[in-house]
Amino acid sequence: MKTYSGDRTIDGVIVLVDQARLLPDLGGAIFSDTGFEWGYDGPGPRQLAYVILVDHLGDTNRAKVLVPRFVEGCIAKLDNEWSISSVDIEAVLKSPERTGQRA
Amino acid sequence: MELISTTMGQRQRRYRETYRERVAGWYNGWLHVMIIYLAGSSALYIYGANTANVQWWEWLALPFGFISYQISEYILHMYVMHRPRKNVVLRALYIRHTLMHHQFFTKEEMRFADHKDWRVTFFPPFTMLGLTLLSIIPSLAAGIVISENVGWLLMAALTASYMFYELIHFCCHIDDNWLVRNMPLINTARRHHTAHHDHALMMRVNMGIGTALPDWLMGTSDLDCGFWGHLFNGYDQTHVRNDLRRSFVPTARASAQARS
Repeated sequence: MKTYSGDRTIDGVIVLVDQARLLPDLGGAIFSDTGFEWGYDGPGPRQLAYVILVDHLGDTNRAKVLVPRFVEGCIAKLDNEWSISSVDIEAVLKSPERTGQRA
Repeated sequence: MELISTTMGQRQRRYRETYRERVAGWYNGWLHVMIIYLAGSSALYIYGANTANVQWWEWLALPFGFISYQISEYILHMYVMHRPRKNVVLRALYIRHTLMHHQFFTKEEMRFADHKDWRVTFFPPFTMLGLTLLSIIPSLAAGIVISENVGWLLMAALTASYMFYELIHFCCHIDDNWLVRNMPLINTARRHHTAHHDHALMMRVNMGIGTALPDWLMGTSDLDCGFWGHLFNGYDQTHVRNDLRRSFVPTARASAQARS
């Protein structure tokens, strides 16, 4: 089981997978070329979702398809610093899709 | 120097220490503020001295400039200061704000320890120059198309709005006292901005600083009330929406919560 973690530091946004740096262009800069972000829905969070899913699934096409669901179910809800596991990712991907949230 | 009585966590405390280590020793907050307000006051004097026989309708340039500034400030805050961009200048604004200001101040501890901490809140002194250059474009157009007075008054409104913004934002990060608790607009801004510093909300909610009205207009406020409520809410928590915090709960913790 892998553990993904993220933090906003004075030196920039850092995302790790099992303590190793997760590169923002893993699988290609599909949604954003400005790096990762989270806590809302937008290019940075979508790129983070995509890269985590590419690392987790090992399949760029499937990762791309699942990005909206993973952003809505997890990435847009992440706090300033966070940690999620492969089990959490699977749980989000299996959960029913919901839409239509304010703000 | 750090606050003695505080509810801040270890992470914020460490961040503040690191930030202070990197701030140049010669930084003086009083000097910083003096530069901003001397430059602003001088500019306002010059703009005022260039107006003559102002007609009643020309004064409307002042509220127009103030409202335009509030909307611009909201857009800059929401779409630049909280969103990483490729452009070097815009990215610097994001780093300075999301990665510095919001880590230095959280809803647990919003206060400065001393004047050296003002650096992480006030824009750099050259901002006034940049704002003036940006203001010239619409003001010159208004001066040519409408009247000279409208052009000068628009310049004055934009400069004064920036000074107002810095004052309000500063008041959001000082210790609570009778004056800020009871001063209309300032008390509303303090509650509004503290909620914005909640890490679970900061990327989406309460982006207006000078006033909460742009958030009311755009539906990004944490309050469920109208125009007057957003202007004069003060510290009241009655109308705070409870559907905004949507932190992700990892599966293991969710299972444990369900079991208990």
